Amino acid sequence: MRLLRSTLTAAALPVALVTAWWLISRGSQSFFWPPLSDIVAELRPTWLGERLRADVVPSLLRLATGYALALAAGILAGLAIGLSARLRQYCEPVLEFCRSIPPPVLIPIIMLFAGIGDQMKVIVIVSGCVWPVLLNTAEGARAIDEVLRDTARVYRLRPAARFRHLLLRGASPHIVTGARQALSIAIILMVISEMFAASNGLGFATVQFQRSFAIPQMWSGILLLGVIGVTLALAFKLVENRVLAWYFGLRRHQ
Amino acid sequence: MRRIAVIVAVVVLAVTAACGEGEDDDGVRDVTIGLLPASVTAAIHVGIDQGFFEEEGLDLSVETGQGGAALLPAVSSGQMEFASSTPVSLLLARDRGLDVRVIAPWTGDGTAAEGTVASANVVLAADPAIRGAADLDGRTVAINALTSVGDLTIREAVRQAGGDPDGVTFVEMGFADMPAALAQGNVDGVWTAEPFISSLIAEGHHAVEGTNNSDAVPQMPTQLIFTSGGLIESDPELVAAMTRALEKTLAYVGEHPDDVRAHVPTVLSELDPDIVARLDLDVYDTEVPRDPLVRVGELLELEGWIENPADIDGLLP
Amino acid sequence: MTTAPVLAVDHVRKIYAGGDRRVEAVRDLHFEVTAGELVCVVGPSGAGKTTLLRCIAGLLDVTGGEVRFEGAPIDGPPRGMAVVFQEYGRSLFPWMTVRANVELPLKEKRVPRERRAVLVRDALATVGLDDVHDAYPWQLSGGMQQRVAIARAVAYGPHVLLMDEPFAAVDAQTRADLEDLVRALWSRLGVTVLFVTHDIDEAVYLGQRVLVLSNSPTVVLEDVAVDLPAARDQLSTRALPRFAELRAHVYGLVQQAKRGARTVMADPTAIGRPNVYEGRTT
Repeated sequence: MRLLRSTLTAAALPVALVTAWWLISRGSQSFFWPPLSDIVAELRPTWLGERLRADVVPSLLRLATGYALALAAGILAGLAIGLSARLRQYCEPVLEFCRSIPPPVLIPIIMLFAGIGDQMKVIVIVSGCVWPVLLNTAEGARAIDEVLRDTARVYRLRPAARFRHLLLRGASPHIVTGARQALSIAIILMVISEMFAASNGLGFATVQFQRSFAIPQMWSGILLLGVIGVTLALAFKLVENRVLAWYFGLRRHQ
Repeated sequence: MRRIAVIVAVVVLAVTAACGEGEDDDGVRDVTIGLLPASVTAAIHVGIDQGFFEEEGLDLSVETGQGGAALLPAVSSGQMEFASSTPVSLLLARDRGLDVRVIAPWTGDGTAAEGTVASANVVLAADPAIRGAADLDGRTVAINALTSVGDLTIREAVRQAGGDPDGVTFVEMGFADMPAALAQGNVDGVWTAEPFISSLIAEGHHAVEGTNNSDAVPQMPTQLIFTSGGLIESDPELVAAMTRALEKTLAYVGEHPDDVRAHVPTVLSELDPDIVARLDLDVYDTEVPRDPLVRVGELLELEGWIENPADIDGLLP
Repeated sequence: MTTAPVLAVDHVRKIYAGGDRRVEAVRDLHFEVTAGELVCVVGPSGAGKTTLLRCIAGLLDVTGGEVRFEGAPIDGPPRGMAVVFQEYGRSLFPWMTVRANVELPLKEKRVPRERRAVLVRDALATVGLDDVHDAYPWQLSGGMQQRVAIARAVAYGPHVLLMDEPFAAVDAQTRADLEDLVRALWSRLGVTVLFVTHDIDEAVYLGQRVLVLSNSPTVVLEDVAVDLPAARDQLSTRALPRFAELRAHVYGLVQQAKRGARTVMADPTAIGRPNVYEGRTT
């Protein structure tokens, strides 16, 4: 019952907005603002046919690869930086510099060494996603309880167990925060990376529709990107609830 | 409640004032034209200097924006009255139901005069094995925008040379990024224009035979000035005045290329003066050529980019 | 005593150096603990009790002298030593169940799976927690959490069990229960226990010896032998006149320590051994 109610609460505003969009755009004659019904009608024929394999899947693969690499690199570097005060002193100015560079301006430079293929697009995604993960992880590693660290030492946890059971889990609330921020950045960069030297992808196809004045198809691409974003956010929430069940429980008990 | 009504009224007035063409007391109209950030745009400044627009009661301001399709929504929504675009974009837009109409010619096919540098686009390659258009089969070519003049004409050039146009992979990138991509070997050819052509040739790259725009579509205009069907109906006098001013400008600049050259730095301040001196600017059409547009329409239909036969009559004045 | 000391604290000195500031926390600590003993350490707050315990546990490097565990100098936590910390809520892994918390150190010791299951079950039964194996620590009361920490230490099978004010944060009734639990475990398992506390009653009630520490920089003020019967009981033991005498004596020492005493002053109630090591440092 409570689940039902919270689901209804969460769905209320989106449903209202979509309904409003549907009603306002109904019968629209404006070339650039077609009726929502036309846009929705385009979703299936536009994206579920040949483009699913040619555009949607490559985009999602690049997104997944870039995101996974950013997580791995961000967590490892973040733990190292969080645990070593000296390393932190060395890295802090560089980190501040790096994370304030918007990845799109790096694309021409990335193209110089990574070419124009999937590798370049994955690197663009990584170059934007890695910072929130890294900085949050470093913060999380610093925040790991000292008593718990002593406990791990006293009971002579070996490096692998220390990493898995103490560092990774101890920093996990912060890591998850960084990973959530990184996810939305990843989706944005997936689209942006496809605007440079691309020949396929969801963002690429959407821009091409805009170029060739296929406006309902363009809107359907935007809609699909939004749907993918929402789906990934929901999936993220599910994983978060599992991984951080202990943390939410702990906070409720405090 | 009253206060809200007042605020709404003020906002509406402000928006209307911002959108509507301002008309000064002396009857001069504020008008905006959107053009490419390219050397040819210098010609419009010559026209303004010569007073051709003032004579027609127009206070013209020039906005430079991205080319291809980007200016069409701005004109369609009334944010600017006029703009230039390629015949390919314009015919695509009409096919999708966007009412755009050409009012005047702008730049022609840009075939280079002897001893000058062509302003038209051509494919440049590094690999000496790529000599003619047919050699692009199986290669990757960078163009500035997909589904536009670049891929349409290159595919036609490859087809005419006996190659398979589907064998060419096109990637989209800015003209400025192309030289590095070519040097890195990320692409085999780049479809580019001045000033990049000169510098790439100086670096040892070569033009691929048969890939000039005019090889696929002889005398193809590269840019046309257009407006929206809505403006033609609502304000035919304005459109007529603009058309007359543009015609005077085009007639003048054709005979005074040095005036245009003098205005190139107004548009492209960072361009090397040496290149400015060598640029061939004698590329303006004085009337809209119909046959090349018909040819573009045929190619669009052949490629399946448009669903109906190209609406040439609807597009032309 | 003929047995070799399991733990030897040999003229340990600890100076915390940070920037230009050097703070001498421990000046000269010297004592030994024999295998199977239960020794309590008391002292005023700020006496460096925790510093001492962390040095013994190998969590902190000493500045001078050394700590020997079963004859070998300590550098880092040795095998065969377990610690129960005061902050039970912070020493259990909140993302692990009770069972996993107790089992983890055994896994790291490479105890085979079947043996681990037995050890975990026995240890939890010993501390009276048979039915919370799958609970998370934060779902338990403070006293129960500290029992889990004790079970973890017990299952680990240590030769020496260090306890750092383990019951400072639980209520009085729970505390009494836990004190008896420690006594019971000690006598049943034969483990050596070093029990740090600021509670004089607790020290006298639990220990065979009570080491009274001075203020920081710390020395041992006196090593008090507790000559109470081995079988202790919260009511009858605490009612013994001898308990009261020992309690008064230790109380007097702690008061002296608070006033900054480094050596024991002449005291009519003095019993037990005077600190023979004291003279070396002054």
